[in-house]
Amino acid sequence: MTDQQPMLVARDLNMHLVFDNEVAKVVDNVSLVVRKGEVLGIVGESGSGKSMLALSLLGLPPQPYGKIVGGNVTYRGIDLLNPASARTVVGKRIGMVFENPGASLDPCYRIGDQITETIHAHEEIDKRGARERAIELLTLVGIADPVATFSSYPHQLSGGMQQRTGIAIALSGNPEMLVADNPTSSLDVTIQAQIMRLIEDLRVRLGLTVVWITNNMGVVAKVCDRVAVIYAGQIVEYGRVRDVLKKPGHPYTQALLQASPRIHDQQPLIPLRGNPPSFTDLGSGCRFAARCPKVVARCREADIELRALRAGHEARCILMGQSS
Amino acid sequence: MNGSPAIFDIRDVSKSFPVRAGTLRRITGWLKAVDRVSLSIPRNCIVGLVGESGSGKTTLGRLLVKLLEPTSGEILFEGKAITRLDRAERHRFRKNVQMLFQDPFLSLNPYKTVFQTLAYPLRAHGLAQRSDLGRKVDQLLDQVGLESATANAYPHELSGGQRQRVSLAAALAVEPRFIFCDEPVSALDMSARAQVLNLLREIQRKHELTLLIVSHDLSAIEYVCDEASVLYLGGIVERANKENLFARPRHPYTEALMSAVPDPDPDHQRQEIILEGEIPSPANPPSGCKFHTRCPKKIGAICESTAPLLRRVSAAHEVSCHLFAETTQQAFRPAGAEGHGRPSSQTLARTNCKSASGGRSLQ
Amino acid sequence: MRFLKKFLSRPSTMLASAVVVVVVLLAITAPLVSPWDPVRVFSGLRNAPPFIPGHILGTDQAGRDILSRLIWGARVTLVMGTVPVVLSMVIGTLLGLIAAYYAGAFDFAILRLMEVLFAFPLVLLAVLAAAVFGNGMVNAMLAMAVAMVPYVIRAVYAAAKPAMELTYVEASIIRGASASHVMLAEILPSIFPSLVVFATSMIPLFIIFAAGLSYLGVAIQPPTPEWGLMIAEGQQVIQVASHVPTVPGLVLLVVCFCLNVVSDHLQRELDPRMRQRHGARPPAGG
Repeated sequence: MTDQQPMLVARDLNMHLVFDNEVAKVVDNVSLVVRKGEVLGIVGESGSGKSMLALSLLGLPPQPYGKIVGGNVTYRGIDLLNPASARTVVGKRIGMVFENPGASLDPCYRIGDQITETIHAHEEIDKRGARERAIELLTLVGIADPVATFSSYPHQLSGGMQQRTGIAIALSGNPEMLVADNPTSSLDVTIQAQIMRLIEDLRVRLGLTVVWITNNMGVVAKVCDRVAVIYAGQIVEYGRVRDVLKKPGHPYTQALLQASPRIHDQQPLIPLRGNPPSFTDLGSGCRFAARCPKVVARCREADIELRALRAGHEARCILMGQSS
Repeated sequence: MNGSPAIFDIRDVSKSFPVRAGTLRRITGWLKAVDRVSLSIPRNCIVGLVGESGSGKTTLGRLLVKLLEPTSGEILFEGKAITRLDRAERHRFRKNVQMLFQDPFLSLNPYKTVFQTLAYPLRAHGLAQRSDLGRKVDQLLDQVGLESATANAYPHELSGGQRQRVSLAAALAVEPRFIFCDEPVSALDMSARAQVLNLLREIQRKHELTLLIVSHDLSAIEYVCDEASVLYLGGIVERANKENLFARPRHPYTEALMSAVPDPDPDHQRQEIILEGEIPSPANPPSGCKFHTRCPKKIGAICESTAPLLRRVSAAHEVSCHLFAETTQQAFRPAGAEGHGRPSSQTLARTNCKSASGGRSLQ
Repeated sequence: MRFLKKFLSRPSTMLASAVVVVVVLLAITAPLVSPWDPVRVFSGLRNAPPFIPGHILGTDQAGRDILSRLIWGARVTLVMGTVPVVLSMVIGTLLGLIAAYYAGAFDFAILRLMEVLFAFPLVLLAVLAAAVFGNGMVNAMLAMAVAMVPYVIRAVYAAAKPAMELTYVEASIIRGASASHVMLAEILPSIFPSLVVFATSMIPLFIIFAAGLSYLGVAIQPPTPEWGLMIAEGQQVIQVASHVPTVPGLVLLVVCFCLNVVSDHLQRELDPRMRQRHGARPPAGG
């Protein structure tokens, strides 16, 4: 039940990591639209470039080597590649939740100070007001004793509580959108379920749009409305979750699904041969060709474009429509 | 019926670590990582230990390979207590009991080539002559699906999956009877994970090996193991063969754990059991049943006051929960122990353990 | 080779290394480059100032050419600075590894013993040791090595103890590696860079140490040229011929400073590289 209004729009985004004698094309001609109220998943294995993509979507190529070399990204019309205008959006109207909560919290400052610091950065408010708001946020994210947590240091909190704090900080600017980069991968399984439930609840209560970056197809199936599959810096498949996960068009998506951890209906695990290509040495033709079980000669001839499989579902494969 | 004796007999084992605080680093408490665990690991089986942080699963494994010594209790390997070994016996133990580590990037010496890493244990246990080393190393690499050229590589030239397979080859080099695998695939990507899991099943079948797999990844455990125990805060809460554990989990914690694994099929979204609250610290565990603070099926005061015993609820299925106190068919009690001790589990019936001679049955 | 290039990329390092290399070369080729015999007395030319014909740095209080004595003295000073370091590094590393590996009683015994030695100032220790061993260059070097051992053990122990927790060290132990293999083939390579840095930073210290001992009359006896001794003897005539003690003093200062610079930059080059080597992941695109 989404609004169809585009919030974050990326067109032909290109981000390169420029080293002394090599260039790594980690984000290659990515176009995406995130619509109001939906949950978009960006899924890929580690090293696929999905985190780089997330940062690039916010106009934050990793320093010192990252450079956005082409395309544009706008948030409700505001150019995110322009640092001045981006500053009004990123961190305020778009909140970010990071992968390793322990790493994004400063160990030297109390939790309360870290939240109020962000609050003060986003609005004119006095100290008491900021404290009240911080405690409100801590309650909102399900922390049992927000007052005690306010005065605690990060190392005194468990991983789950640290991540809840990270979410509270992301919410402190009253964002309309949340970008969550693998927020549960470092947490225990039962805590992962709690955090996923929390983000879903917050989405409903606060009317948030969510971009969820993950390497787990199960997470995509559970929480996302639409999904983009990333391989070697490119989107290789894009569409509604039901379409992509039940009727995948790209062999890599099929392989990811087939190898996804699941219990009860286990299938034999068939590993992909070979290794992912190095970003500095991509060549032309399909980037998945070296590992694809269905590869034919035509695959290596020229770069493959995204093609429509059905309405709202695209994949970067010339063999689509063939029986798997 | 499984009649072979256990390869490892864990009897009432506890392991506590001191907690130090203050400027004088005085001991302020004890962290009980493993709390009076009894378990038999049957021969030629792949056994799993499942749990989250603080469950004690890794500590238990490290106790078995003698990287740690138990605070109390006994561990018997092939009938002999491993805390009392003389030098020669210890050397033999180091040949029979091996370990595969979690982090493929840290478990290989970066200054040694693959050849050197594999050759040394062969020489140390007298398994190959100098002239034979090249051939034996090639054999080992072949067993784990790596080319002979890999022998000349340094670890940093290999991928995570390749390094993990080299570590496995190093463990196999000494021709062990038991390998403890500590989160063997958690740090690997999807493809490497598949390769290593398949490899573990294959080598267990080919050699007379017993594997103990410790993991928080339930799907890996289901894929590879014949039986598994679920641990929570240092104690076993449920133990069953694969079929029973995954099809009919009894303990509320096991149920919650399973429902927390997200299914990649959008049509199969299960009813979730979300546990409230944080995992308690093993330095300060709850009283009675340690799970009572988060248990959705808590009965009442008994859960807070009394720790439940591990009881058999059917052949090949044991549970430690007051919900099942009435359905007990047999409650095992250790010979001559105090009333509130934990019973030592016998090996589960109807666990399909594969051996080189026996056929492999599909689960 | 790439390491050398990076190491020498800063001009300060290049300069300092050049100085050290030149001094070492001069010391090695002393018989060839030294203008005069260092103990030859030029009667009538005592305390002669620098820049007179034949004696570019002048002569000392006994009438001997200072430049020649500096060149020949470099041999003695450098040897006395380096040999005890090497000796104490070998002994100290072994003991430190043993203390870290065996822990328990060994750990306790070795460390407590060292603490006793730590209670004595380094120089005092060396003087005491010299009193036991007797005078002379070899005995002085032995004394210095003994005095240095506790510091080496402490540095090695501090590096080796955490190395015992490394996963691949545990793996080696589990595969039945002998104690010597674990200590020498698993732990030592990982701590080696920090030991090299430690040793190279000790060399200038020991050169001063040796000069100091000679100054005290404990190590080298006249007329053997040695920089510290030259300073000590030259002190007597500092009023009339200030160059006699000052020139060797300056040379000592410059050489030690350059050695310190080299060791410092070596540390900067070796340490982060080692950290990077351990944690490096190959970039991939999947």
